[in-house]
Amino acid sequence: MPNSKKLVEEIKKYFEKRFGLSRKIWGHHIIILRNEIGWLINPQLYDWIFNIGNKAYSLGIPFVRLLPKGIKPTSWGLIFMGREITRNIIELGLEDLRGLLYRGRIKGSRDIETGYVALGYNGEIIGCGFYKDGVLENQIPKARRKSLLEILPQLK
Amino acid sequence: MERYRQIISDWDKFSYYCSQPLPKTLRVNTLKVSLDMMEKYFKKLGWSFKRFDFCLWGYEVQTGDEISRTLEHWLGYYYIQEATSFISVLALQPQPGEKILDLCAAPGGKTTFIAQIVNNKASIWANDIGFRRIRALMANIYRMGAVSVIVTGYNGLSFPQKFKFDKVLLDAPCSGEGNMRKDPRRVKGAELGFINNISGLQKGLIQRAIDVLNPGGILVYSTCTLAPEENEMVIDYVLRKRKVKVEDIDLNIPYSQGITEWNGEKFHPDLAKTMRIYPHHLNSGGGYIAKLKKIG
Repeated sequence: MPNSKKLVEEIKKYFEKRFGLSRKIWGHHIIILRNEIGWLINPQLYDWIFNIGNKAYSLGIPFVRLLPKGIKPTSWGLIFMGREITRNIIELGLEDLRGLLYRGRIKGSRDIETGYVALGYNGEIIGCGFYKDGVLENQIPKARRKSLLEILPQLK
Repeated sequence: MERYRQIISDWDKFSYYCSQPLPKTLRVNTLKVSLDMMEKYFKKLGWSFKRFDFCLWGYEVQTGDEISRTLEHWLGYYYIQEATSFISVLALQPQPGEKILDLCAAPGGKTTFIAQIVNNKASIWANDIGFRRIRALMANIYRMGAVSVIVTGYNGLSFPQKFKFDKVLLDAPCSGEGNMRKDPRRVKGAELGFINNISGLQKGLIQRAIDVLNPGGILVYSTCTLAPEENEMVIDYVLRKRKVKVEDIDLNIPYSQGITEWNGEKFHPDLAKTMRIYPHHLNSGGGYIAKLKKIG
């Protein structure tokens, strides 16, 4: 991928600025760009990545999607970072969570800049959302959303 | 199962446990949560719990709840896993810095356990075939936060030999007789025709698993079946086909030794170093584990 070093640096800066991730994180993890995805891997995997070519279905965990309009954090990536995330978390109550999962969006003005946010529930990061003009959109992938909906009745 | 009466010394106990429901067991994922923290969650959920004697991360929990239906499970704080399936990974003794292959990895319970033991500090290669199996494998890797794992979809029989590993786990496809407590239809035992067919596949897979090991490397072969054709006979076969030796499995758990004779056929005496796990040993399903070292 062209300019991959520059793009990886951009991703790191984005996470630091948007989600308050510490630079120290990158001492333990690296980002590899493949198939429009920024994969988060441990440094030990690095040697293999180049030998394996395009045969791998998955490298570590998908951390960001590289969309034409910019970087989109994945729910897997945000959940993985969990308590390292200190900024732009929208903590949801049960009713808000239910609404977001069923309807895909909920209204409610918040003091947050437009962009991707980490969805929180009960002190845990549960995935990615997008906030703009008083509307929060769900970005949790369909299969994960479905399995979260299945456990909703058990949540308090 | 009746055909195993001759090799299972404590037959009454075995039969009793086969008829009992499986306890609810899980592995706490210390890549995401500490044991102390998870025990607090158990209490919050109203579950009583008991840690496994043989493994720090294994728990048996008592609850009327469906243990897959919690936010903690959804977040990857624990993996629902039977006691038997801990054993093969513990026998492998994965270490940080090693290159480790899980040749038939889906759905990923053992792969993610390896990642946990090495604290994501090894290079782990999880392989399997079939889109649905690989999709389940990837979902579990992501859920458990195993950033040390890559996933491929090679046919295990033709896994590329240019890649070499320090350790290989071959949890082989099998007739699944050891799952009798999950699926009562299995109590009868598998059909011999099926067992013989799958035994051929297992012999192919184990040879390839050895071929991709570095000299001195370790292979752990495991199944969740009791059939000697899929267990000792596979190991006996590969001892003749490849330069490997059987290693002792240094785990402090109750088990029965691998058999060295079946239906009049004698096997290599070292097969006694392999492990048969019966339901009454760990209050689990049944299974088999062999540890081999590649020579030269």
